Amino acid sequence: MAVPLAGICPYPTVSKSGELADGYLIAQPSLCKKCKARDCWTHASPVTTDTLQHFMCPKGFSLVLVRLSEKTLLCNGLLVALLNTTCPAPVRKANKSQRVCWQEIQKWCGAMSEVPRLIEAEADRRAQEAIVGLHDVKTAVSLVTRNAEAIIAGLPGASDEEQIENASPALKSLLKSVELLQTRLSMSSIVANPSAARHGQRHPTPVFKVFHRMVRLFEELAARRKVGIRMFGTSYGKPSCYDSFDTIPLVLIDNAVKYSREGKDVRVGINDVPGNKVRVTVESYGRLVPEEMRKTIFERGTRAPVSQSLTSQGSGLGLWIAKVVAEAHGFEITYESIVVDSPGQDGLNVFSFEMPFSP
Amino acid sequence: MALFRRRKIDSIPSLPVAELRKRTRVLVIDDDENSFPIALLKREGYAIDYWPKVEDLARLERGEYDIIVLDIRGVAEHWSVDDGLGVLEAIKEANPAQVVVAFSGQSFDLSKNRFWRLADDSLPKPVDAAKCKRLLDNLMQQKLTIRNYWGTVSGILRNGGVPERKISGIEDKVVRALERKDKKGVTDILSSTVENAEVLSRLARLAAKMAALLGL
Repeated sequence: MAVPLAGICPYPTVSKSGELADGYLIAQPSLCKKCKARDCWTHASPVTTDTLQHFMCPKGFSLVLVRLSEKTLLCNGLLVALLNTTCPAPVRKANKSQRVCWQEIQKWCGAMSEVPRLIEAEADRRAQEAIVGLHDVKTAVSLVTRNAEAIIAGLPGASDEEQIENASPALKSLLKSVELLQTRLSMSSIVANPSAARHGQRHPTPVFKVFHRMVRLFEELAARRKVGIRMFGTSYGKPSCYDSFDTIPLVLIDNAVKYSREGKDVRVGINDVPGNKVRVTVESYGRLVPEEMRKTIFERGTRAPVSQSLTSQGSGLGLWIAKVVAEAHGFEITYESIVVDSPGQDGLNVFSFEMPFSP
Repeated sequence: MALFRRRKIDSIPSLPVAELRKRTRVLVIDDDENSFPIALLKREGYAIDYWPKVEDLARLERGEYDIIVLDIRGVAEHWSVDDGLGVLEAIKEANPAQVVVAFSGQSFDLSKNRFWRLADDSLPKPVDAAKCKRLLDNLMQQKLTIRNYWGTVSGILRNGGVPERKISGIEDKVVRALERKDKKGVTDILSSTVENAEVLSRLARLAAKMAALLGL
């Protein structure tokens, strides 16, 4: 298989399997094309770690080994001025078009070594541009929030809780969507700046209440997918949490609803356990995460094939964000699969964690 | 004997939240007036002022407001190249006890982490009224209490070399002055303890805060 770099190389190249490619400035000489040996790589054993190294092939051509980033390229069929002094005169005369000077190769190589850095810088710039656009989205969401609150304020009721209670189902649904949007936006900030998980002060947080609020936000979405959400357990503990803690129930419940089988319930258990801790479990019934992916599901960008087949949504960032937030709070989220039916098929995907009441 | 027992600051009862909301002066500084639920919170009894930009830095440094909710962008370009961060640094340098809430949609920006670290608490945008109320009420109950102000006062006195026994005596006098609603008395007691003008001004500010909290 040809080395990808060969496509943008000005000089002829040969792959390790002997496949030849023309450069965009210099083509393969006919002698190389006819060569039966194609053992160029055996004559180009690197003796140093230099980016560029010059070798000779038995036919009298120069071989130039190029190291760029983690890729290695072998240019063949060249006559490098001053370095190639042993090429037979007839070969040299018949292959004038193969002549090249070492400085030119160095110049190309220098330019190419800058490419990864430039690509990375460009990717960073574009990512920042995309993220800065988030600010406008946040401004718009603020406006929607203020308008929704103004509508609520006009409803009967002595407190805002009572007023929300008196709102129409459509308005309640709108409020839930806005709240969901706010939490999702805070997730996007953590993607760009993981230290945002530690912004602000930690406050005593009623974990049951936070999960209950998130369950309410997802109930409508879950119902559309014909999935129920049930909460169980008893917890009065109030661990000390950053604002970012909200993203953990969001990610776990969102995933559970997304990947649950129709007609099944997502079960959210929250219990105070010995040792002044609260234990949280989020269980959903569906395809299990394959064995080989269980160690990496909390890594950035990981999506199990099963999740890809069930829904096109999802970026592979959710569990990574949850991990970042959990680490900010000093605990770990674990995954466990429990086979219920035939092995390797459906079962319970269980995400759980324990956090102390005080950090 | 009980008549001569020294009064402790803890003997002053804490105020109910509704009263704290009325007595705590909050300032929101943000170029986008929709980002904070000002109107709604005012209706709920909070004493909130709004500045689209930093209008008077000296007033912020003097501690005229109990809580400053400060945006990072577009609020002080005329004053500092660091915008809101520059203002926060200036406030904290002049008056470390000033409570400032970092309020921004720029939580994704790695270069702004110092802003979040330096503030007493944070509100990442967008926010709803419930979250704002929770945060303000928490700050009022934890930081803006007579006990907390006295903690700062006694710290200043201790750093100034005032012996513990004397501090305890000052505490007794301050409590008695607060109980008889004598605002001037509190200021006079604290003013008589030091000579340094800068420290004196800090103590006077704290005396005013304590008095204001009790509606004096």
